[in-house]
Amino acid sequence: MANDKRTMTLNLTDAEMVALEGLAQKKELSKTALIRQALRLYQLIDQRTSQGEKLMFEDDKLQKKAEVMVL
Amino acid sequence: MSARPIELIRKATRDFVPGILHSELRVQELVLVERRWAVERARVMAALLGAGVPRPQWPESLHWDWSSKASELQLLMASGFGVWCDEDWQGVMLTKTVGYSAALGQDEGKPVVYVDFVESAPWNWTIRAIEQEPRFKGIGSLLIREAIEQSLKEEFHGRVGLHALPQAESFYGKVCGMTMVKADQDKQGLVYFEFTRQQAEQFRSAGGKR
Amino acid sequence: MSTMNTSNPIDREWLRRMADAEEQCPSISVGGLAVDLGMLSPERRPMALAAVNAAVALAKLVELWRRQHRLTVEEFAKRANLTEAEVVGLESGEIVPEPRALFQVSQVIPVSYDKLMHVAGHVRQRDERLSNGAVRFAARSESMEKLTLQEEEALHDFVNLLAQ
Repeated sequence: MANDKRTMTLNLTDAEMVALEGLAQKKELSKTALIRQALRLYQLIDQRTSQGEKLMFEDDKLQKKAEVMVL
Repeated sequence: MSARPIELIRKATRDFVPGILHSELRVQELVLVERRWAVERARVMAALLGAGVPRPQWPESLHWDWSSKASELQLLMASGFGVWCDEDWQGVMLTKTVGYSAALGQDEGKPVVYVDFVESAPWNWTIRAIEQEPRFKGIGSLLIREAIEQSLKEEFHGRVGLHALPQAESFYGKVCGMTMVKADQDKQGLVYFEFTRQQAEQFRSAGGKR
Repeated sequence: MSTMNTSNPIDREWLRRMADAEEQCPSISVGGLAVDLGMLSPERRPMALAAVNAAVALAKLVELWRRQHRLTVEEFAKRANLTEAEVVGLESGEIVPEPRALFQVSQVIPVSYDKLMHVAGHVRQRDERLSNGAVRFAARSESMEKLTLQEEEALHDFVNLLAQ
């Protein structure tokens, strides 16, 4: 069923773990919840770029846009 | 689909009526809801025209057809909720957990549950111009409470954000007790409202502002 | 299959209080999705209404007039110099007819081509009276073999509105 959880082991470098812990603390999320959000975001980006859209960063103050490359 | 029993209030009798709150609504269900409600919207539209009500006074969502976006429900970030009662869908809500961050206080930048869409069935609208009374009351409150529950489950501590239509600003601001953050030019000037974690707890326990 | 979750029952007093307060508000609608779908822009709103109602109203006009005159789809198609598929498409109510089809219809049904074009939304300057008439007509008519008295009246009123 949709709510059943499955467990996996994640192998991360020290730098990745530091980044994960830092982001989790900043967003006040558990590491699991943080990775869940990252996965959702990645899936959204994948869907929209598959449809031909582009992901952009926009800086209102500097009036510029930059495309984010997504593999 | 997950489901839990809830109660709604039948307006005519003020009785509590058993219903079911479904979460994890699928695309198929949403499309069915939209088709069912489209017929009722046409009836309301015809009644408003017949009564000579000027268009600016019509319910703002009267002509919406959002089933084309229902496919987004298949994404992990999206959730669909529905209130089922009296053998019919009485209300629907779509939320997202990605793409929006809190704007208020110490939680600025942290994730929120964003309410993309919430609506009660056309027969539950109060439209004084055509003397329509709702069949069921409290649909919006139930659904917004469910958005808070989702926020808690997601570890977002109850934070919820949404852009209200002008006719709904009093509901979210005064009744629910959300903070009116700003008129958002990225959303055609709609006002962005947000529950802080404290306001969410206040809403759940005492029901927003009195 | 659904799984039942019985946690966190909602207090009845809370629901009654919230429902009473909610009832005083005109709406609970939020607009995030509507903005994304382009359904909120003022320019688009009237057109969206016109497109939906125009398709239904024009479909009913053709269907009811055809049935009133005891014509089959094939017979109407011949008179209007349209294919049967085009007539079926017209009567489906799912698309707004193209100008050519409307012109052909106006050669059979005694209505103004210009007014049909207005109802269909092919003309920039909208006529509120025609648009409103189309909505009322669409709401009044139902699909039955023989026209009911209500359908006869609805058709009569709409044709008068569209007449030269």
